[in-house]
Amino acid sequence: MEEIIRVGIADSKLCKTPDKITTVGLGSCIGIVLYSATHDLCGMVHIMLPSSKEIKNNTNRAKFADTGIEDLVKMLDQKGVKKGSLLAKIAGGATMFVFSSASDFGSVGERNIKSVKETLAALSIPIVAEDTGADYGRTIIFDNISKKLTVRCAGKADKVI
Amino acid sequence: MEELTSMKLDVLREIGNIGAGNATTALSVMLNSNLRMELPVVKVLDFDGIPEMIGGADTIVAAVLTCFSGEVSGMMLFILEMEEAKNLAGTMLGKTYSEDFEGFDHMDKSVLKEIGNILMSSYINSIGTLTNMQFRTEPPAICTDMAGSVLSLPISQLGKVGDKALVIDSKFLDNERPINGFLMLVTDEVSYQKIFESLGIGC
Repeated sequence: MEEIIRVGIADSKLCKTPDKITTVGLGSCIGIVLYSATHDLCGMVHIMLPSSKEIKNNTNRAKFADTGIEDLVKMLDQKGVKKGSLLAKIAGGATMFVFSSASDFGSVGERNIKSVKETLAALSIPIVAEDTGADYGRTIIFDNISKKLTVRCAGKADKVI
Repeated sequence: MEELTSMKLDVLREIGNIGAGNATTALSVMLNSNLRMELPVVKVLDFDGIPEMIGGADTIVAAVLTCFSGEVSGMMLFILEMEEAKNLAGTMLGKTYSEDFEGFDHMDKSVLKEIGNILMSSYINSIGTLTNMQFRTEPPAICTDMAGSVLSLPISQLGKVGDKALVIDSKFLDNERPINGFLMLVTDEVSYQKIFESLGIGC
C-alpha cells in the first residue's frame, strides 16, 4: 500500500518509491525536492528562512535554505544516492501579504528563492523545474516514479512540473 | 523557549484578556451584534501546530496582518476560516455570497481589512495602556489562501528567534457560537521581557 509522506514546516524527510512525498501550504517558505533519475529514493525539505548565518538560534537546520539543503544531500548520500546524480524541483517563495508601507517582511519569499538557488548552484545540483514567487500558496506532491511535481493552489487547476 | 513561570503565564493571559476584550467590544459595537470572548489560552506550539488551530495547513482562510513597532515590536494577525470571513464581511456589507463564490472583491477585502485593523489596533493599544509604552501600528494587509501559506510569514518571523511559538489564542463567540478564527500576537523574547519588566516582573 503506497503512502504519502508528509513533510512539516522546517522539516525534511526521505521517501522511497512507490510512496509519494508532500508538504502542505507553502507560502513564503520553499519546498525543495531532491531526486535522481535512476534512484527510487528521493527527499524533500520545507525551509522557511534564507540563511542560517543571519540567525543566532540555528539549531534546527531544516529551517534554513542553506543548511536544510546541505543536510538533505547528506541524508540521501548516506542511503546511496550520490550528490552528482541529484536533480532539484522547487516551489514556493510567494509574497502573501502586500503592505502599503515599506517593510522588509514581504520580501522573505524572494530572499528564500535567491538563497535556495545559490545553495543548489554551489552544490552543482541543477534545477529541473520550478514554480516560485507570485502571491499564492502552494501544496506540492512529488511522485518519484514519474519524477513529476504536482503544484496545487487554492482556486486554481493543478500544475504538473 | 525558556520555561514560563506561572506568574508570567498569568500576565500573558491577562494581556490577551484585556487586548481581546477591548477588541471584542470594538467589533461588537461596529457589527451591532452579541459578540463575546472566551478566556484566552496561552499556548506554546510547534510551528505545525499553528495552522492546526484553524483546521490544518490546507484550510482556506482570510487573514489580516499588521506590524507594530516602538519599544516592543512584532506583528499581529487576525485569521478566520473562509466561511466565517464571508459571514463577517456579509454582515458588514449587508449581502450574502452566492454558491459559486470565487473570492472576495476589492470592497469585501477592504471591509475585512478595516475590521482587522480595528480589532488589532484596540488590542495593541490596550497593551500600550497597560504597560505605559508607545506603539506605532502599520496599515494592515490582507490575504486569502491556505492557512499554512498565510501563516508562513508570521511563522518565519517566529523562526528567527526559536523553534516554538508562544501564542495568545483569543476565541470569539457570536451569540454563543464559537467563531473558527483567532487573534494572534507574534513578538520576540526581548519584547516579552520588556512587557514583563514594564509591569514590574523581573526574570
